[in-house]
Amino acid sequence: MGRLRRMIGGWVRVTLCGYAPERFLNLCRARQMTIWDLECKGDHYVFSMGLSDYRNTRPLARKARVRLRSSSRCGLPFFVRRNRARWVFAAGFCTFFALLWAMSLFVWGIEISGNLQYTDDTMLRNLDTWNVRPGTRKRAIDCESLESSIRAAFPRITWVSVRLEGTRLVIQIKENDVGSEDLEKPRDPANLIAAKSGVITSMIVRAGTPLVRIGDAVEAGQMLVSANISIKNDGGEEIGTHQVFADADVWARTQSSYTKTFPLLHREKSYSGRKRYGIRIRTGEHIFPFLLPTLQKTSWEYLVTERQIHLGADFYLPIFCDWVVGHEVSVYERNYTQDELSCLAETERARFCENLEQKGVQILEIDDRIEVSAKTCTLSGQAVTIERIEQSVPNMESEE
Amino acid sequence: MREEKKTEVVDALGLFPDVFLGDVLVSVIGRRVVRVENYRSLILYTDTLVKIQAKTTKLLIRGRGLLVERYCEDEMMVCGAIQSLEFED
Repeated sequence: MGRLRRMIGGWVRVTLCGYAPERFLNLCRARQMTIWDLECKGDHYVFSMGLSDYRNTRPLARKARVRLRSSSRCGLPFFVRRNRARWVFAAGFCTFFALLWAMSLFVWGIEISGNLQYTDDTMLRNLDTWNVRPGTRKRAIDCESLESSIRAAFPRITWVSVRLEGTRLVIQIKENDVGSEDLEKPRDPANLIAAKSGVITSMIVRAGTPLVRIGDAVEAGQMLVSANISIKNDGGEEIGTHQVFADADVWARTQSSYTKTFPLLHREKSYSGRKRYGIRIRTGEHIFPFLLPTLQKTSWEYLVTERQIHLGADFYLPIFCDWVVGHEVSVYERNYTQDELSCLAETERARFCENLEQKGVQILEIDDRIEVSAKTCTLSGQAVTIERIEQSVPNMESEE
Repeated sequence: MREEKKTEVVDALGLFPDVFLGDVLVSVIGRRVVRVENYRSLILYTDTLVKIQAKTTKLLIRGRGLLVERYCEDEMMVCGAIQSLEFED
């Protein structure tokens, strides 16, 4: 600490010679001046003392009849004086740290973890409506109220933690694994109608009056289970009706189809293997690419890996340094071959089946066709499926 | 006489002699460093002899290559190859 104080205040190396050097040293000590690294060099002495003390030694030197000569000067005052012409450098140096401090007052990165059902984009859009986005002042973010807002906006989130780490906003959430649709089912009287046409193969009625049976062919919109339950007396006469929320599982054999038409002529890319590398600096809306130039006028395809600059683990800055890799590509047009059309048809069929299976539909058989004309190709397919077709609609009689 | 009585009282009461009697404090670290406190002034300094005036006595530090690492109001540190310490009336 003493050394730091000396560097900041500045010190000089002094050569002392004369009549009574010891008297001079005693006079300095009496005026509370500190001397260090005092050496005897035969006929003279060399020592170090602080700059402010050195400036007050003239009367003492006169009194002790000695001569002082400074041989070297060290410390901040001398450094500033030597570099006074380079004030722009110093200003830039200070401005850099001032900017760094200013940027530390804002949030520049938002990290969300633990979300499975809600995508990052969905959550970021919601945060944006609450004025929480990169560039928001840290002081303007209330973590507790943000946690409450997230829990209210996303019902499936059971636990949420929001905290500020450096210039990052870290949001951790935990979602509810149990489906909540059954708990939220409205209990107003409702009928069940057919969402699609088909032949009923299985029917389990839990509430309501069934109007169709297994084996019946139904049309889309036809009522399957009524919300009205007739109340009969002992004689079998209807004395009234009671309305319920019709609940049933109705499975039917249905038909699903798909069609996709596209032109035979398509663009094909061919990569030559040549690459070029570069970096791209991005801040806000401003982008500064730095790529090696090419002499030939060819097409290039660029792959950019984004990387946000950060100091340490949590001090993120609003500057992105992206790594760019370019691949030379030549584009030409040609028609699909028969093998390629078959592959496309297979891919489309697989995609169609996967969609149906994700919805819980059982596929019994599927036929697909490829129709090729002069300029276009049509892929079509038809599947016989077994799926649930019931759809709940409000009972119009109860509304009246 | 008076000084002897004073010394006896300080010893009997267990008080600090450097504070009440103005004795010089000398700390020796190995053979290389001597730290002196509670002294009045520097009488003589060369690279083989350092003579210091205390309140009631003179301290002589003899050695080779002696240099004063620190010289201020509170203390003085002499470094070098210390050969002997002497007190002179």
